[in-house]
Amino acid sequence: MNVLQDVFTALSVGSVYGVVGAGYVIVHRITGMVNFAQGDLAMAGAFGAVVAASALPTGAAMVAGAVVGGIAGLLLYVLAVHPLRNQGLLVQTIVTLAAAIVLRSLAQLVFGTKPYALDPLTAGRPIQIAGASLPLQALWLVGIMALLYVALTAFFDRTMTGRAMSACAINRYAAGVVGINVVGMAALAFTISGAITGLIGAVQVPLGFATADFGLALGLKGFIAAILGGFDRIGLAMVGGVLVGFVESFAASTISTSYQEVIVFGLLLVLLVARPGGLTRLRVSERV
Amino acid sequence: MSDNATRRWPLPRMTRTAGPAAATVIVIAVLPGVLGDYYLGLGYTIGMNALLALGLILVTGFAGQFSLAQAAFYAIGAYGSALLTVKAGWPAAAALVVSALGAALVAYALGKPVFRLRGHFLAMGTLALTEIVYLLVNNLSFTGGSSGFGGIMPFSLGQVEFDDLRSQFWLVWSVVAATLWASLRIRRGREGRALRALRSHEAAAAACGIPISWTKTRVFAGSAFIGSIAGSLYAHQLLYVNPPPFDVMTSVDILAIAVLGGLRSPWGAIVGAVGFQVIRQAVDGVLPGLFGAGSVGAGEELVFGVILVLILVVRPDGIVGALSSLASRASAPRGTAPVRPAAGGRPAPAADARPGERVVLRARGLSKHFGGVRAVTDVDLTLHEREILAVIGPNGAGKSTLLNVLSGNLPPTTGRVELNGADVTGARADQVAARGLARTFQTPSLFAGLTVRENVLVGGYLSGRVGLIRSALPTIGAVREERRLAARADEILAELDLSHLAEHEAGHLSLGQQKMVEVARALALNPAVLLLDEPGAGLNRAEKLALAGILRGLRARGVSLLLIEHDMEFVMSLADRVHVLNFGRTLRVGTPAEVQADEDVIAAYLGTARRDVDGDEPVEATNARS
Repeated sequence: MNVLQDVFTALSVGSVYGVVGAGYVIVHRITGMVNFAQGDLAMAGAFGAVVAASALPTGAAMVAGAVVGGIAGLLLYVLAVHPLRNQGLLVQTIVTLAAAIVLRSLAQLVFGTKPYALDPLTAGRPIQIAGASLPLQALWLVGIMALLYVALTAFFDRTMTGRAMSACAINRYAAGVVGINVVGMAALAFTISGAITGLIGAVQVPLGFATADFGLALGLKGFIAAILGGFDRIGLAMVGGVLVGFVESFAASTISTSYQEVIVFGLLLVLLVARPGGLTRLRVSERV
Repeated sequence: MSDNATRRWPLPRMTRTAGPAAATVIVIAVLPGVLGDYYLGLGYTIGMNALLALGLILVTGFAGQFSLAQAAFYAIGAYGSALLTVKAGWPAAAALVVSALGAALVAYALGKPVFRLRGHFLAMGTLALTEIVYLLVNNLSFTGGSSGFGGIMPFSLGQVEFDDLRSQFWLVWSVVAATLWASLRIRRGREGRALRALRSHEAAAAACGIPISWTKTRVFAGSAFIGSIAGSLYAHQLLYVNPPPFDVMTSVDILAIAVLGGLRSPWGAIVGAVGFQVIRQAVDGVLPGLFGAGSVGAGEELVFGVILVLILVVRPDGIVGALSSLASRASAPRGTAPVRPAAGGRPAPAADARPGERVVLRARGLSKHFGGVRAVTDVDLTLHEREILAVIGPNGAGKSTLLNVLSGNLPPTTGRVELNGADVTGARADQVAARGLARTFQTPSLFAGLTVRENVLVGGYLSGRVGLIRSALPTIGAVREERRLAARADEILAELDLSHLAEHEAGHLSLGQQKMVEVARALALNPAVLLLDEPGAGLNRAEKLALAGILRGLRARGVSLLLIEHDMEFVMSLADRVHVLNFGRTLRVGTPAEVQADEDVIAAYLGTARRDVDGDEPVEATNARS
């Protein structure tokens, strides 16, 4: 086995998990919900890019993927979640799962079950270091995750809208009292979350392909990343995503590729049992 | 108390659950003789789905916990039975029971830690569990990998073999009927009330002595048991197992069935399973014509996804919910609860009702901080037997937080709490309740959706011991206990002059009535110590006089009372001692007269010395830890 190769793989898939995890965190912080359709928003972005690529250059197609993801996220909120605002979290969470099924089966009806590919953003041979190869697209994935981290942090800390969203995260009622449009902020959270998830879903297509059903596993792995981030920190969720990537690629190379997913999902159960507070042990159980 | 009430109470409930179940049994007995093979097959599938959905309704409908593990338990049952009978040669019934116990054990191991967390963690955890089980049976060699294995014999019980569709139909529907009946019984019994209570208001349920996560864990294990039985029956019907029926989409289908039928009632499982099959037949008939034969799988999923969204948006309680609200609109007494003129002040209590020397509740150096907010700092407090201690202080003084820490609804940051000499520092609310402490909440915290009597019955949770299994099977002991609890609840209601409200839904009462019912619920715990958070708020003068009489009467019976109150006239006429808090610290403790004369107290209230910030307590009782 080649450790460096595992590290490269971990970084590239881990960036995808990390951004999906950040998508969970954004929605959870502002609305207190877990969006079961998160992985399928990545799938929507991926297919958005695949379709757009027939008319647009690859880069623009991937931006189109982000737009599709954002719109899907917004529609999810407006059509399914918002009408259930008085029903409690249980029903709202179930409806996101239902929406995930709708997205997944729609994609399967339109695109079938076969994988779709895209050209990488930069053509060229993978970088070879000590017998391990790093595709250029993987650098894009890591770079986009880093860029999203900077942009999202700046947005939530520096802009008025971002701060208003953070206020909703702390106390929705009080945020409403001081005149923040809580519903608008929730809609924005779903949109941003969908957009970044859609973007990363599109950018990973040249390496990992787009299939109608890849949202489920991706959603679970992104969820693990979000738990590692205490469901509260975008940066930590991204770090968590890379950690999930490491576990996955090392499990594949040292144990067996047939059991890599069992091991990763088992990690989720272990985390829930042993360390639900994430990397920094934030008390997620306290906020009732 | 009254014989009339005792007799009237459990009997109609027996018939209410037994009647429809008996009707189901008749249907089961007759149908196999009438139906042809095609409809028998359909009926079998419906029964199987109904059984799985019944398991889901236990955990998601009753306990309000979103589980996607039903497919995993289904798989454990199917593969467990298949492996144990084919490879180990066990009898089918033993394999079924052992597999179901194994599934329950898995649920227990996952549920116990996860139920401490918020609901969606269970949902994701169970999704992961289903994926893991699916991937394992796909990859392990002894489960036959993706092709599975056969050689399973039909289910048999002693000499009886269930080897044709007719007998299998009969078998699966008998299990469905038994499970349905048991679920209906559980819903109406002590355990079901506890589940409905914790779904409605966890902190208040914990204060009634209900161990929250343990109760959820048991019902989750119950749902696993049922799911696994369905799996075992499936394996013995198909005589072959392979992975596809056990993937995540099965869990989603079962969720769709339960939501379609209605999560709140076990009947939802039956209605939903029938509806699901009707829709599936329709989709399978229409789709291939529109999109070609390959579209059936994805098309079904799409239709059910859309239906799931629509049902949730239009009617979250499903078909059964819609039907029963139609039915109750036609029959039940609706509208606002009757208001009776208040009975006025009660006679003064016996003369010997003076506080004793023994300390029943003691706090030492108690602090509670929320991040940087010091809600309660270094408070020492004592409550003697037969004492009425009032805790007063301006808004934001930390009164409710103090009460939440004393009752175990919040863990203290530092300090020590003793109840009847035992250290209860950091104990959970239900453990504190079990040691004889009851409480009411500042904001009305009755269990919505339960009647007034049921609310008081939840208060009596600790004086019963009938659990999930005995709730399901009406043993003589269980029926007797239910009768005893009901009699006690009626007695308390009569004592507080609330009998006329017994059958009203708690959420529909006036604020004053809700406050009194909450006192009744607390009394049902037979507490030695009663904590009351603003019991007089929202009561009119006559009601307050009546309340004062009741509280004095409790004291005369040996109960120690701690109450938070803003109405100074009420406090000063009632309390033996007054404990004044300001900015989370003790300002003064003394008799009403001493406190009223104290300059610091006057300053804190009138703001001559320092200005007080008007605001709420940092954490409301409803946000408290359960």
